[in-house]
Amino acid sequence: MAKTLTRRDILKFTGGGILGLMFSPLPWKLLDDSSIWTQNWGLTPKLAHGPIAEQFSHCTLCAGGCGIKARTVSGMPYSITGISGHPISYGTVCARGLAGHHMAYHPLRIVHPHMFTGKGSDSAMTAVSLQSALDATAQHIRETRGSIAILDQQPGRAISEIYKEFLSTLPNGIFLSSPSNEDATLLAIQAMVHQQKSSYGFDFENADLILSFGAPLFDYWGTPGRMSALRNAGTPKIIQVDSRYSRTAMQSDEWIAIQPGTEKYLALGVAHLFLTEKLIPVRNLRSAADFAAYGKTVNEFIPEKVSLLTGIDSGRVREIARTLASSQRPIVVSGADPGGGPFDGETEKAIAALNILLGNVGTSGGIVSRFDIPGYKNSSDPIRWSSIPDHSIGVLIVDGADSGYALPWSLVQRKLIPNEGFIVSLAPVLNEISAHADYLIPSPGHLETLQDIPTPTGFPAGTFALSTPLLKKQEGTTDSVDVIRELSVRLNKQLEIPTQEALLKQKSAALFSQKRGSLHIPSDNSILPIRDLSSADDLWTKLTEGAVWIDELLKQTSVKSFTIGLAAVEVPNPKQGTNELPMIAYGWRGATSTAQISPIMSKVFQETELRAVNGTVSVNPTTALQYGLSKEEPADLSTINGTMKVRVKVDPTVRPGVIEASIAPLPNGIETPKHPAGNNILNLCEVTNDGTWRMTTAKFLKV
Amino acid sequence: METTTEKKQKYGMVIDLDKCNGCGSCAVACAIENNVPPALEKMNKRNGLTWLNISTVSNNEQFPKSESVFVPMFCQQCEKETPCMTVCPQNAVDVDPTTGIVGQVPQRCLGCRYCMTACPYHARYFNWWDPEWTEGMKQQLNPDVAPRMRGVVEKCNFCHGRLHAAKQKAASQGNREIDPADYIPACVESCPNKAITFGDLNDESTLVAQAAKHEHSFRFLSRLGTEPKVYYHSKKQWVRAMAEKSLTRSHQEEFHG
Repeated sequence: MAKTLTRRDILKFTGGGILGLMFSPLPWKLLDDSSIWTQNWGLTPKLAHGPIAEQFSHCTLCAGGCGIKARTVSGMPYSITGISGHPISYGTVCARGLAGHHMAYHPLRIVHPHMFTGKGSDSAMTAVSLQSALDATAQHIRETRGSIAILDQQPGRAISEIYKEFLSTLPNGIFLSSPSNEDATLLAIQAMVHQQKSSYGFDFENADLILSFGAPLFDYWGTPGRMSALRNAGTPKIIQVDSRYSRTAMQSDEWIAIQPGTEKYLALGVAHLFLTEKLIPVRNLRSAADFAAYGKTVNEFIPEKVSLLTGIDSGRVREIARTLASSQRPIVVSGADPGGGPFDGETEKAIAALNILLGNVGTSGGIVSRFDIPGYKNSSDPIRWSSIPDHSIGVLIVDGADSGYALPWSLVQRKLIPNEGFIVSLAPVLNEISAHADYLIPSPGHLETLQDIPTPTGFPAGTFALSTPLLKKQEGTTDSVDVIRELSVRLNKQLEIPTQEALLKQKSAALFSQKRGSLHIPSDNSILPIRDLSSADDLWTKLTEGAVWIDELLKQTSVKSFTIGLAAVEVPNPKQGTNELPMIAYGWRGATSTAQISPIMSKVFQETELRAVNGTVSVNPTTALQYGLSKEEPADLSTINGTMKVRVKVDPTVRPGVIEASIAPLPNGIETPKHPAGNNILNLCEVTNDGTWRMTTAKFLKV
Repeated sequence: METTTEKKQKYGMVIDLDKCNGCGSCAVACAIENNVPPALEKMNKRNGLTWLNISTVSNNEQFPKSESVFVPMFCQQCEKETPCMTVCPQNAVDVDPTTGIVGQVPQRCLGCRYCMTACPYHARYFNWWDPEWTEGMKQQLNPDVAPRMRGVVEKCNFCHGRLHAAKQKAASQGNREIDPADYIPACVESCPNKAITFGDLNDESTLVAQAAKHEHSFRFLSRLGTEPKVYYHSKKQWVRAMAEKSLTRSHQEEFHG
């Protein structure tokens, strides 16, 4: 009798088969093979092959100008580090600079001229020819009823001189400088001295005390390597007066927590003690021409009043004044926050004046003057945003260089003639300002073209270096100097503008003819005096190979004659009974919402919370409790500029009753159409008439 | 009987937390050196790839006495009973007996993530998605380090590409030993504050060996007995005290929930 196949047989066979399979090597082999295959399949990126080499250059991503060493494979850089022994950057490069070679391939890189049309969601970008972009720009320059401005965020370069020369041929040309404002104290002192204008720097290396009013000294200020080297050396002592527990506050020898916006009252209070307690030599007091008026200004700022205003104990105010006065070589420095921008002019003057009272201008270990750099014209006083009337700019050309500091679009917008203001951006990537332009004529990106590196902020001696290209210049991009030459031709201006290389060779030749200073050679970390070089060509070759020129130190002469120019300082009455809170903006140099950063910076912003992304506000636990805020939860934050949904971070290091707002790249490190500039917390900041946005009144609407 | 005369090294690090200002250079340099891709838009701190992660830890005091430090956290290179190695069913984790470095072999890893569960430091990361670089950035990958695709666990290996390059250089010069100056991990090289000291812990003359023995040096979760080769250093007592707490229960995390 034939045996029939039952359901039981099928189940037994299946079960046995599965059991047998488990004891066979087949599934394990398949698993093993699939794990190997997933790591070797066709979509796995292929690595470059070729000779490995090292090349030296300088970073152009901000005005720091750090020396960089690139490892290359077949000429393509794949890694960037600092140059050991580099006299400006001390072997250090910031995180943004380490990933600088990525910027050429940034997702928002633009390599052809474009025209922008429409606004908001209707906006569109259309590729146009270089000729039509230049023609349109020239036409607007000819026809505008307003002024024509060029915004240079890294002034002091050779191209800056070309911009000034071009603007001088126009009836309403303005060279608009919007640098980092790290040098605010130096510029304030420059404006106060009576003698011939000179460039100044900080002689931190020979100082014994730095009193810093909010300057982010240990968060990439100046050249980050210089400040790190000072920190590691343990001298000078650093006292940080800061309204935030910033990275500098954390790393300084002493943090003095101050109520935001009251820095000038502390500076005036210290000056008051200098005078009333006779803590400083009488000769220093007499150096100011307007000493009587200044004395009157500081007179009312007794320690008890300063204590009430700043939240610093009056005894501590006295201690600060005495510590400063008893130091041999103290320096008082202030500075802009990369996100929060500069202090107001009154605060800068009040802080800078302390240096004058301490008699440290023109002295070793203080604020030192330096030689002008051969070949460069001694620049006139820069024109800042605050000097320009609102609604006055007809055409604005925005240079592609970045200061590393935030620039609110609302500040730019209020200076433009409404509905007429025409913007041309020369930026190599789409950023917050270039996204608002009418035309974009992209310049070559970072490490794609030859550029000069201006002397970094606060450096005690002049420097000159070149950023030698490490990457091939992308077709469709145009050097800024070529844009200006083409515009001058279209406007029938008789200007002879050389090529970028010829321009920089002129500067190098001027340097050689002076025979002053020395070169640092990166390949063997040696120093070579300029006088030992055989020819100007020899100097040029060494500069293109990554060498940096350092000027000699100028013999210092104490500066004795000043006008402080600080009129009576008013103290506003505090608002009572409102639910409004002061909001202080802060950021990280080079990684504000204005500039673009490498996507790899997601390791800092997105995949960790080392730096807060844009749209994050921090409050103290007591503030959170008071306003019913929960950690990591969204809340609506309102200022005079509008309302925005923010992410709340509860942080005990934040002062109670204060909101700290992070000015940072938008989530995922890239500004995309999905994350438009409208979500940028920088747009919530109130820009005052003097072009500052450091503090804004804000309130939480609902949670 | 052992016939080789090869010197045994024990590479380790000492991180001075008082010098770290959380600039992030080490994390960025690490990612570039090891071809760790940038985050996709959907990635966050829970599913990101951060071989070197930096946490902020607070002393839990109230303003203005509140303080915080940055703690770079990555594979602690456990010397004994290496937890990830003992649980791996694929032998994808090994400890090099000549260097003490805990390695990860992505071609063997089947992505079971036992090692992630076993790691007391949460220093291992699962590659949830295939890496994405722009076309140009693909040309800029480090030619010495193979990129990993999705489905495997990744972690710090003290920049093994640099170690291999140093060994090749030594071999080409006829030397058995590498020059210590030729083998410096990317995080150490990039730190602007010189907060990280690296070298052979077995060599008493090295700075790292001396720093590891300093009274203010400590290791996280040393009570587990896994003998990590990454040491931390701080003059602050509250910082040293947190070392014996689980990272997920640190002051910062407790405070924020």
